[in-house]
Amino acid sequence: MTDTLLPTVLYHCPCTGAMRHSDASNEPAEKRSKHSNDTKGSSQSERPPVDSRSALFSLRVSTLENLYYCDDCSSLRCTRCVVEEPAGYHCPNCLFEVNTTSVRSEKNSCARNCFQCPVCTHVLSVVESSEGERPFSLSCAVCCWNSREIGWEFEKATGISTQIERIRAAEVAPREYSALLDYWRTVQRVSTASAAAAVGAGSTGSFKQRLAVPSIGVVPEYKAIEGSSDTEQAHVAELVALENADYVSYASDPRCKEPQRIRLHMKLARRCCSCHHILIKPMPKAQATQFKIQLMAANFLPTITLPSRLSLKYSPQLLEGPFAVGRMLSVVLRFANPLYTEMKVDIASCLSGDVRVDVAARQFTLPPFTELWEYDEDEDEDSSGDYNANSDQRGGIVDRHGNRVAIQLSVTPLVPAPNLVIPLHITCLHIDDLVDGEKDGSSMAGSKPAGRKVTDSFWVYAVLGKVQ
Amino acid sequence: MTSALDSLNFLRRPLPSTTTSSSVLSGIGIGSSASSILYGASTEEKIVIDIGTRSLRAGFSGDHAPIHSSVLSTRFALTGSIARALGHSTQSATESEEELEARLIELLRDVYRHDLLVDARTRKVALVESALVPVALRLAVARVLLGNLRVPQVSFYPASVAALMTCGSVHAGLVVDCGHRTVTVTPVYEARALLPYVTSTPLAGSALFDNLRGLLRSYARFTPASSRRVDMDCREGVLTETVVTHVMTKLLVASPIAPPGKLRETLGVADGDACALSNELVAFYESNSTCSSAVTGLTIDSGRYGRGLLLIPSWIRERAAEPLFCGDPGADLQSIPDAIVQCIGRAPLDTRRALIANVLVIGGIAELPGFRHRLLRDVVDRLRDSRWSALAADAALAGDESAFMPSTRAWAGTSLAVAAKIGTVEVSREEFDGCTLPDWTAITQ
Repeated sequence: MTDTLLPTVLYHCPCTGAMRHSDASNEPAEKRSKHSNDTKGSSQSERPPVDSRSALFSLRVSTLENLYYCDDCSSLRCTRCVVEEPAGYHCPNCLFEVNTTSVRSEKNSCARNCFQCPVCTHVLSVVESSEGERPFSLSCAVCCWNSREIGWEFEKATGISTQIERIRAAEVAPREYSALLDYWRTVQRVSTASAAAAVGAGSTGSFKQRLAVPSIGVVPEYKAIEGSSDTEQAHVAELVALENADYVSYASDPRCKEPQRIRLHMKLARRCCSCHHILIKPMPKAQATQFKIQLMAANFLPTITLPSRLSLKYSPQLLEGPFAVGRMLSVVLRFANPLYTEMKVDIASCLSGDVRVDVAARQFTLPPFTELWEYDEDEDEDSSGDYNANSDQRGGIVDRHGNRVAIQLSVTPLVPAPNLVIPLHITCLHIDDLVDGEKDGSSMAGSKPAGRKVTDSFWVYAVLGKVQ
Repeated sequence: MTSALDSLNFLRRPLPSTTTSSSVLSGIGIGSSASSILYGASTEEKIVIDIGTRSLRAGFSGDHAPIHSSVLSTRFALTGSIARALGHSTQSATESEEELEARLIELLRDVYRHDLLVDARTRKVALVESALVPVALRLAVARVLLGNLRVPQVSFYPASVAALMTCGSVHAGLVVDCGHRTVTVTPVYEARALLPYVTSTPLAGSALFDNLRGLLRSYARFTPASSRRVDMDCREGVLTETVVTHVMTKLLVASPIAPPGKLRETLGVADGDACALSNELVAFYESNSTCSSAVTGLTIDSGRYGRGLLLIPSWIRERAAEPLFCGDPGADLQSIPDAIVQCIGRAPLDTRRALIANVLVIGGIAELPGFRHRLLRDVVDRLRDSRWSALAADAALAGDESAFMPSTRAWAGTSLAVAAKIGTVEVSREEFDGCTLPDWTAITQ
């Protein structure tokens, strides 16, 4: 299915997936040198890291909103390479916070009365009716399902989860499991006891040569638990007599008729995989959706978009239908600087057999981000005297506005493809003028703090549309 | 490093030497497992993962059932949004190791985030490993777990021996693992999987699916609710994958009566488009059908023709699994009973009686109602016609009365083995170099 969607710009994260070669300390030397040669090669040559036609492509790129940035390592991090750790557990329904030790004992579900309706998955509430010795039951406000239909009635209104777990633990499968576990633990205990006793203390090789293990004679044979009825015969009879199969549900879980306990939600803190710097730290309170630490890539790297208003003006073919092979297409890309300092941007395109890309504006400067109230229309027109409009046009820059610069590229697709994807290598240089108190302790008095130069380079893929 | 062959070797038969005192047993009661629930034992608790071709099961050791169980084709759709935008099919076969690893990363991270709810770096992982799993897949899973998720240690448990543990004895058993891609028959003797004698056949879940779809395309009728047409055949666009999967998992039964030999020539797995069953075979099926009504109705949402009523001849429901029992002579694929008999023939002479008396059928396809009993009948018939007819009287199913479902037996057995602290081949994060994993062929020192 190749629908032509709105064009997007995707960023590539340089993580290599499962095993980074630096993690494997005892990897054979040949492999390690091969890896290092590869990375050196790619920074010098113009080859994009991932072929856009391969299925691996969608697993290595993301939109900028989904990426993180580690300012210690000065590189992008994606959701696949960050280390995730739990930062609090709560029930998404009652927002009750659960501490880490209780999570396992409650089987990762809410311990209070949070259940999901088996029919419509809405949350069930406890209702009281006047009849009988078990007045409480669970009821759904949306579809009017009541747990009396499956025989769930309770004496107390609280702790329903505990009562359900008690019923479930008394079923055959858990009892059989614990009987089997006891049996195997006994066998293991007897065998290790006899192995240690039979052989002397000094021989370390004995564990690998377990010989006479008198487990069968000593431990009685396991007998299956009574009480597990043969449901298969009943099931066969039911299926054989089936005439209308509409009532058979599509759910794969055999417990689909019973309300499920609501699973707990885990708040995640994320760390950089190489320097373990915290990138994301949420507030521990369940109700709070803010973050204590939030290092998002959009706050450090320029946001590259395909602007619709400027595209209408400068590259109208982009918004109309499929592109023709061989016909030159002009594409406008807009860069927005998120930092409070100036940023120099270098763009490099790569040589590829599928598409020819000409970038006129290979180097330009992005002005710093200013807050909205500091922005003044008149001021902007005056300060644009720095940038001569004519030289801009020749240089490929079509528009400047605040912290944003739009450039024009000429793209000529050479082969038909379901999606035209242009890889571009972007290098950004800025001077980080935030003073690090510990480092610059010696040069405090009077001198201007020399910030460090930060260079970020990454690959960007602009997805444009269909080529016929 | 010990090899997997030596794992569980403590369970072998004793030599006739003196035994230790039986006072070890006196303090053991039912309370031991209850106490472990009370005191948590969370540091020794491991995460048990069973990744198959079609399904994924994950949970904690010490639990009787996995906490997460899902079908993989729908899971891989998670990576779909950008892939769909680019026109890539999300269900295409993975072509390279990197892609396999990337998909596994997404999958396992999602399982940890939503179902397991633990920090991956704190819990060791036990993997359920079937006999014929490709080395590349093992390596990819180990790399993802140790490299990306940073689990401290991964251990591999043999699925056949673990499944047999749920029956209470690992002395001897023939484990028939009916999965999605292959059916593997593994003899287990004295807690060792006898890997040189393993047999397998590709007539498994995917063959059942293809056959069912072919039969439905050829013989079922569909009446759209919107149009006036009475009914039409199930051509392209009527049967969606969801409908066929639903029929396969919920509505099929295995008939206990095998067709006679001369009618079996046209039996074969339908290739999804045409079904070339002979008329005599269809007549046999219809006359021997145990279903009370000739046709079963099911309301479905078809692909292109809207909602409507699908009328399935009941003999299809009974006989869709027939190629698994009778084989596919056209494609030269042996049936599951044939694979079992072949395995018995390969196994050492003095183990055969014990093996055939304990046939344990596990796997998702084994949950088909009536499957195991029909399989046993066919095995007995084959044995009677073969050189080993003396064994036919001993053939019996194992674990028939137990409460474990066949699809989760391997998982439950591994959970038992981990909870009972039975050790096996382990790889820790520090010693893993990214390319070599201990295999069952590794020689013990």
